[in-house]
Amino acid sequence: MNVGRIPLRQIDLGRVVDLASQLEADATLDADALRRRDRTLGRALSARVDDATDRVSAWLDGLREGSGPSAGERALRAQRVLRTLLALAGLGIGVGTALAVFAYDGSHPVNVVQVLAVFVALQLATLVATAVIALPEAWRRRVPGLAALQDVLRLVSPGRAAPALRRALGAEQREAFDRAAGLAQRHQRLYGDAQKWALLVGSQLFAVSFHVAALVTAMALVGFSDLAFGWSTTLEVDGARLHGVSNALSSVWARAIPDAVPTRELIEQTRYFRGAAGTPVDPQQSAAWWRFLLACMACYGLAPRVLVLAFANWRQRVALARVFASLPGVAELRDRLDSRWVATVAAEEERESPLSSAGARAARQTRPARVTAVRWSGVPIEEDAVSVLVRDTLGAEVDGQLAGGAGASLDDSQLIEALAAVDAAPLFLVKAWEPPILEVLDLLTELRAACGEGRPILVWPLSLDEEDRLVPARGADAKTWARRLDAVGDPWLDVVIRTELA
Amino acid sequence: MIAAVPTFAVVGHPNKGKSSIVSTLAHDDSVRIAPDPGTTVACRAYPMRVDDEVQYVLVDTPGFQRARRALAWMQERETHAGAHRDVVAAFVAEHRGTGGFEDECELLTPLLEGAGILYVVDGSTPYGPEFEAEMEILRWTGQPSMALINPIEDESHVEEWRAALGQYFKIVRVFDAHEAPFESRLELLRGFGQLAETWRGPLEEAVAVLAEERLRVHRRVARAVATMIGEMLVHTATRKLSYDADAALYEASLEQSWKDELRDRERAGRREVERLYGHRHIEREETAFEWLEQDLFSTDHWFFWGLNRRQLVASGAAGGAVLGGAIDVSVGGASLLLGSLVGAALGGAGAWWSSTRLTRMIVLKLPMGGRLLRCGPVQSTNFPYVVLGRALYHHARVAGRAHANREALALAEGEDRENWVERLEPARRRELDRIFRDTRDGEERTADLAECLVPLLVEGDAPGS
Repeated sequence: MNVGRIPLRQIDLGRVVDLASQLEADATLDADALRRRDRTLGRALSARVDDATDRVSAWLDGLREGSGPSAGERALRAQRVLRTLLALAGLGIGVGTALAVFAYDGSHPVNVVQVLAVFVALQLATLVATAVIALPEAWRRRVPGLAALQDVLRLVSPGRAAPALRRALGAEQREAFDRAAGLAQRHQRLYGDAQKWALLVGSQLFAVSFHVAALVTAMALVGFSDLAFGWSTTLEVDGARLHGVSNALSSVWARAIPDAVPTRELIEQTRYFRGAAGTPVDPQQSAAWWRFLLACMACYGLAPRVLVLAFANWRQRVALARVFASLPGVAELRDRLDSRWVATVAAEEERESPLSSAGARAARQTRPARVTAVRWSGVPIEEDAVSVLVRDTLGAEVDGQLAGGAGASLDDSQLIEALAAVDAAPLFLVKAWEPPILEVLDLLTELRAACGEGRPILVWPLSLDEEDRLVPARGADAKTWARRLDAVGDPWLDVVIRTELA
Repeated sequence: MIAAVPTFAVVGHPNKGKSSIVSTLAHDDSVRIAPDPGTTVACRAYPMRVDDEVQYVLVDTPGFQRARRALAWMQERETHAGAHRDVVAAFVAEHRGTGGFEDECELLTPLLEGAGILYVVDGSTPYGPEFEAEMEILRWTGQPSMALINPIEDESHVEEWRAALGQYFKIVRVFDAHEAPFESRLELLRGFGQLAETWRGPLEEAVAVLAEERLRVHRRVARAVATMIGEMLVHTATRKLSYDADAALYEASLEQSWKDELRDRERAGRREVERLYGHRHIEREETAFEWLEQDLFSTDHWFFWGLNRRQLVASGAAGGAVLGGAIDVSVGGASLLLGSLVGAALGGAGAWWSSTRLTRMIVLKLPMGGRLLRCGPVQSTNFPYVVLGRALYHHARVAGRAHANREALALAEGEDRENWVERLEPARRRELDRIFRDTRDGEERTADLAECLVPLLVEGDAPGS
């Protein structure tokens, strides 16, 4: 990874989808390998990128280096295609609406009231609906009925048409779009805010396109055809009242464009009733309305939509950045990137132990009546006690006693020689708590060679009881001795353990 | 000869706990520990690495198998005390690969390469003369050394060992590899610095890094537990139904699936916590972690793990009082605080009634046709406390568990366990209440919950917790 070449990009839908995909893929990897990989990248990044979220973004780019378009990029393209379709729909409907509202065939003038209703009143009403949808998530729980109202308004928002237009996408883009939608569904708590603003961006794109198209169409009609304007309504509205409304509406541009403010005379002279005979208004005189109407469309239709679009776009970016920073797994990723990698475990696998308990089990045989006792490696028992213990427990007589192993005066070869020279079977009294090491097994093997086959050799593990008296061993220690000596494979080697005595 | 990187060979008689000490100090429960002598057949290094830089190395070695005969060989070739180390080197050179003294060659090699000696004995068994040959050979290597008395079963022979070891080693310490809490492990590592002046600095740094890493582990665990609770709180199970299907027929099986999924999530959370503490084999080893195997949905145990009835009622009453208080305020106090009183009474009663109520079934109409039977999310206010109580208990046991310990996790018999909620500061308790409520309402509060849990986890990791 070449960190120096990573350009930091803004967080958009594509980045979020890519990050979520990467984190999902990483979740299947070994945690240690992941930690190591990310720390290596993190160390390289920490010197170049200060902000933690930017580091995550750079990390994502670093991992994706050299591959083709990512799922996120495809999702982003899909989103652009869908938004373009929405904008095109807005343009078409805008042109159609303007043609309908500004339709003039010479019989009746264009009704100013209709223009204001469609391009001002209706727009202000939908702006209120937009504002309701845009209210913070937390308010949904606190204001009674708000959640239901928002849900209903979302149902009629043009932004909702985007998923319905997905059929227009190519297979790859559709799959990427569905992936993004699935992600949002799985992590609704995280994506809720971003989804809301995405919906509003879609809606406002539609609305801006609608108003641009309507405005341009109206200007074209004004410029390339002759229109006559008048006003007519069933309501009891007189000229003075409409003048008040028009003055209020044109207060925004009154100083800059005084010609776009209707006069009282114009209003009085351009009122008409469809049932009245003759030409309702003088077309030349009524044409003075167009400036006012176009200014209304620009000021109350287009301008607020452009502002709301910019706001929604900004909020969407903020929400996506928040999602990017709090996706499941991002906290862990930051930890892996920024925390030192500490490992204490072994670097390689442990080698298998060659130990096996599959040796020949000593043949059960009649215990010898006479033994030569060997106190091995300082087993803590007096000579007198040995005779008593052997007689009472094994029913054998002790012909003689020797000391062997560590701390004894005889070395191993002298001990073997002494034992081989007598008829009594050797009986080794060993400490059960010390394990049977190879040194003991060597001695037993050498003793067998010296004594020849058939002669019993006994090993008796002894334990200490609570009062530190020697007693026949039992439990794990005795079993360890039995298992280890069985592995020697000497059929005349007998391990005396307490369970057998019992 | 001293190794540039602090290196410690853990040596001794077979079955005295060498591998246990390494396992606990390296936080690695993959180390093979068995009663049979000769389980460890080759040296195995456990380097402590920080961003690939090695701070120190522990080396587990096979036990002495033929120490008397090895010493006899050396003594036959002894010329003067200054040449002892050369004799040991010659012994290794001559016997390596011959099969005669394989274990001795293996364990002496790291010492000849500059490792310090950690000689391990079992303080629960008596001292014996068979150890003297081993200690003498180690003395001949001339390496700095320390004796560790590992009381495997009890400490009945510790003093006897201390007296004997004192004749061969300047430093003798007692370290129970199966029970040592984290602080004792750090203390021992710090103590290794006494072996060589040049090792002291790197070891001090390593100890600081390990302590810092422990705090990070607490945060990771907090995040894992918070994520688990968050997911469990909003978890639902659904089943599509046709218009003419009888929903009641599917309710029992759907509820069962919902419960199973929650149980699985809790288990997965536990495995994650164990993994974060380096216990990767605990599942295979343990069969009787009885207290936690009690069913998550056994509501009889809920008052043990979570809020008891009094706490539940108090919590419900407080919430009700706040709502009622709003009414009092809205009427300018004309209600004479009746709103608060009634709210508290209703809230408390509601909390009592719903204390063990799990969830409910809902049939939803689908926009594209058909119906959806939904079970969950959980409704009981006590449930997150129950899950958290169980998670804290499990964490305390896992965090305090030495990696050499291969016994089943179990609550000590007769242990009088204090209700953990009682110990919570009121502010933290209120914060938890808020977070659980917001999470239920669909708000993302994982990070806040994790932050809130860190002190509880640190407390659970303290010795004696």
